[in-house]
Amino acid sequence: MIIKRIKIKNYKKFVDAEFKFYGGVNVLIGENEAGKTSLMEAITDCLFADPSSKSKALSDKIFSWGGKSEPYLELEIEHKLNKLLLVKDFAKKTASLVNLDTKKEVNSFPETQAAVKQMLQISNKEVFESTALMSFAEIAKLASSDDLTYVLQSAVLTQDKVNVQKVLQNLRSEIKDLKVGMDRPSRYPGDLKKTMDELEHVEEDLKDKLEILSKANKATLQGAEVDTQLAKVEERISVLEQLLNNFGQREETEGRLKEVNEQLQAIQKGLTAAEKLSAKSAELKAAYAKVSHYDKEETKQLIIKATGLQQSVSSLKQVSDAQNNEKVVIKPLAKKFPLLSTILIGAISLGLVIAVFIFAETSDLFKLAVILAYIVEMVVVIGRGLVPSVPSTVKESKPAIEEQQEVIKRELAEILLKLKVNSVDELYTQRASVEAIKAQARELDGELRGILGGRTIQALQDEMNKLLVAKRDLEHNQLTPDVKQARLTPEEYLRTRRELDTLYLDRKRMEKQSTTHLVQAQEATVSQEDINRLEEYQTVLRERLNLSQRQLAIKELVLETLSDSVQLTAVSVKDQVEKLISKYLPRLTNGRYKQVRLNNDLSLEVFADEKEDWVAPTSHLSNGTIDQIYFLFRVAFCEVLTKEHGVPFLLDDPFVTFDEKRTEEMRKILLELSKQHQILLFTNSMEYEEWGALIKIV
Amino acid sequence: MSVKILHTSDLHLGAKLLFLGEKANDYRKQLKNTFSKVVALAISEKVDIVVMPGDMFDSPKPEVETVQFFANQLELLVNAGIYIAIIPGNHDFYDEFSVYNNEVFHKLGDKCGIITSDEISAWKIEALSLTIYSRAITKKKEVRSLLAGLKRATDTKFHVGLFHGSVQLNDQANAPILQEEIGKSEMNYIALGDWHGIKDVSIGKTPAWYSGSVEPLAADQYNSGSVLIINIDEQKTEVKSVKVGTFTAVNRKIDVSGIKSLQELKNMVVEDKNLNLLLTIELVGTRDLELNTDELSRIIEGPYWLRVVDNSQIRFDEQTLAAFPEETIVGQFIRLLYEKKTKGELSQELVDDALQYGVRILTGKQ
Repeated sequence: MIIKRIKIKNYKKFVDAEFKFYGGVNVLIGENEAGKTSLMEAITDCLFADPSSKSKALSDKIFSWGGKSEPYLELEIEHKLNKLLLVKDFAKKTASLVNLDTKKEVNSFPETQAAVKQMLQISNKEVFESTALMSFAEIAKLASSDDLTYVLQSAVLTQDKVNVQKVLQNLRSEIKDLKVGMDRPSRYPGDLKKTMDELEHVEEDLKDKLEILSKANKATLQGAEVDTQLAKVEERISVLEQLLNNFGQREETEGRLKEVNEQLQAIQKGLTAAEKLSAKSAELKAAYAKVSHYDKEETKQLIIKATGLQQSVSSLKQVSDAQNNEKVVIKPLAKKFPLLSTILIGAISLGLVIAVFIFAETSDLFKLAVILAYIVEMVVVIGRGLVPSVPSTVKESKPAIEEQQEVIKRELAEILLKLKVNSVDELYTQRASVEAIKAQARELDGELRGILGGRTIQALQDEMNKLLVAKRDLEHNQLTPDVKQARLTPEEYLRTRRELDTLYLDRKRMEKQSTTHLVQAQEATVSQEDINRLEEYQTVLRERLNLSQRQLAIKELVLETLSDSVQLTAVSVKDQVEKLISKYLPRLTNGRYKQVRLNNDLSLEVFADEKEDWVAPTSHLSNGTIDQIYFLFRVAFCEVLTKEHGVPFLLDDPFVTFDEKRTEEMRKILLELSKQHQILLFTNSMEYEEWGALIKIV
Repeated sequence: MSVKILHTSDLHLGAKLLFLGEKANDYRKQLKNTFSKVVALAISEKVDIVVMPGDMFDSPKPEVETVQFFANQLELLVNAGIYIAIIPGNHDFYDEFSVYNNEVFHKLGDKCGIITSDEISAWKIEALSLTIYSRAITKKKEVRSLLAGLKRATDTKFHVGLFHGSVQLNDQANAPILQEEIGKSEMNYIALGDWHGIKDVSIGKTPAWYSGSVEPLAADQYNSGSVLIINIDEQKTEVKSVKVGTFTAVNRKIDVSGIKSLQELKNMVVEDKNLNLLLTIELVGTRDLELNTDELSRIIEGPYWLRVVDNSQIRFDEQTLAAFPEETIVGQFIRLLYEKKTKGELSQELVDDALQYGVRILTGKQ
């Protein structure tokens, strides 16, 4: 690149000036304060300054010392056969670059700067000032390794499209942001720590909830276990209760059965007796039926008549016998006084009858019977009273008596025949047997009544049937096989009772336990669904954490690799720099120093033959030598940096410390360099006027 | 005379769906909706019986509400006069505390047969002239021939098996169901559960199928989402699948070699507008340094759930290196990372990601 011309308005020393330059070496001569530095800075600012910048430092520097208006800078450039015009108008705050051949124009600051960078391979003023711009006052300032590193790195790094320093800085700060709170607590933790904390929180929550759930599940299991045991206990209780129940029922049923059996036996006995009696009664009835006609009133009258006849026969016989035998028969009083006694008896009996009627509360039937009895008695008494009269009649005459006897006998015989008996005695016997039968029947009746107790045989039979039914019920329905077998000795009974009591207590305890477990299980406020959700969220967080960790790992790896790359890139530049310096150094130092080397920290060392060692120039070499070395260092940088682009060198009297020989050598070197680079050598010494095109600054 | 069966399994009600993260809860609700759809389908198709060979619940002791939901659905079937046959699977295995002992199921009456015997048992349904042969999965985990000894045991016209377990295919030595047992079983149909994808495993004359889950329960369950409707008459058994699921798991493998931009890549992915995709995008091949695949999941819209699995590697060849000369920082950076990658000290993926990220920030693209 060649700067052909610069137009300067209102800039530092210049109100309105224009300078023309040429390819190769230009010597710009001016007195002190003539504006050399102003011109140099005008070139630099035209190349790099932003007219729209509000920087105070910039405005302070570039404003014309006396001027009131804003500066205007115009640079005509030739680059790769193109003629270009770069304008920085600080009044309009515009930057523009026009291709004077094609009239193509860019007029924004970034675009102009992009074009400048393309032409120079240097993108900012700082780098330019550290390399292509070499002033005597500043050249040795590059002594420190940090500066060198910075310059070199800046130079190298800005070759890339972005500012690597800035990238590294961003990376570091991003990594730091990510890791905030990791090493020590922070109120505003980074993504990593935030996610980790949340994850930890979720994990704790999950642990708690799982514990609750597991407790509930355990309670359910325990509850189920207790329930199983409880069921067993209940089963045993039911068996024992049944046994005792059966036992009781058996006892009771058997008692009742015994009772029923006894009742049954009694009834059966009564019934048997009653049946026997009724059979006997039937027999009596049959017997009575045979002789019942003796019980008839007619028969009874006949018997009385027969008796009377018999007596008459006997009396007549006695009379005849007395007549015959004159036997004195002592007669009873009645016989002595038959009429008297008849009247007496009749009167007494009548009196009794009347008494009965008056005083006794008897039935009419009885009264009738009494009357009948009275009549019968009167008949008998009167009959008897009349009888003695017969013998008297018989006494009258024997034939009459015998005749009378015959009549009575016939009458008697008739009666006997009628009653089918042989004698009166037989008649009496029959009559007596009727009475006996009747008495027996009466007795039998009484006995039967005693047995039946006012009931009928049918009733008794019914009662027995009822008892039989009851017995069957007891035997079949109450006394089931289980009940029948429920036999316990008193010891067994007691033992069972005791076992049952223990079981009741167990049951109560288990029921309580079961309820407790149930409550525990139901009180669990956590569901499997809650757990699911938490675990799912946990997965989300883990993925998030993984992502953050991965990003961190990526960033750290990039940072590490990038830092290494920066170092390595610098080192690769180092070789070229070393070679370039070594190319000119022997000539400049008259062969005293041949080799330089850059350490990895970019500190510069020179091999000193006299010391046979590498030495740092600033501490071991003379000022002149130092300036030579750093001049070459800068040139080398520019070469490396800008390659074939040929950045113009702006030299501000850098050789004042050089002796004549070195100066001459430098002239040659500059001539060589001027093939690649336009050289603007600013000086106040006429010493260099022959070195190239002379331009005077006034 | 014929019998019509609806076969569904592996509903996994109440399942933990870790892969879905915070969407899991919504998805579980959807799972219930889909089961309701299945019940409605059974009723509208007028099937005679619905068979569910296992894992209707994800655990043997699910949530009360979940159990109630399931019982309510079964009640709808019973009320429509449809028989139900269920066996516990390996997730909802049977033991004394099993969900299937819950009284809500007892209330459903005789039409709902929950078979809990771990020996093969036959349930004869006179009204359908159908016998269901089944065997519950119980607590004790056993590897055994589940179908051993299965043969017709009644005089009904139709005989259907109901089992839960893997069929031995290829070299799965421990699978509890042997192919030869299926072949010998004399069943008109064997309804299988355990696998989440629909699958025909018929052997010989015996049709045997897995219905699969009604919705995918993992991102790699590509064949889920259907139920089977089976028509059996004296001559033949017809099996027809009916799509009931709302979600579809899809895996799209994309070779990123030669793809220049993210937009181009995106265009290759989003071809259907199905909002209910569980989409896994697997990137393979060698990707351009410029292609930032990390951004892909951010710019794709539509799928219910998306995961980008980047198995691609960065293209590292002379051409790449030439674009970044050694003396530049980026050039050095790339070469240094490449060295680290070759040394194998770091995971290839990490190096690739660092490489892409580094190049992006060094070239001013981020």
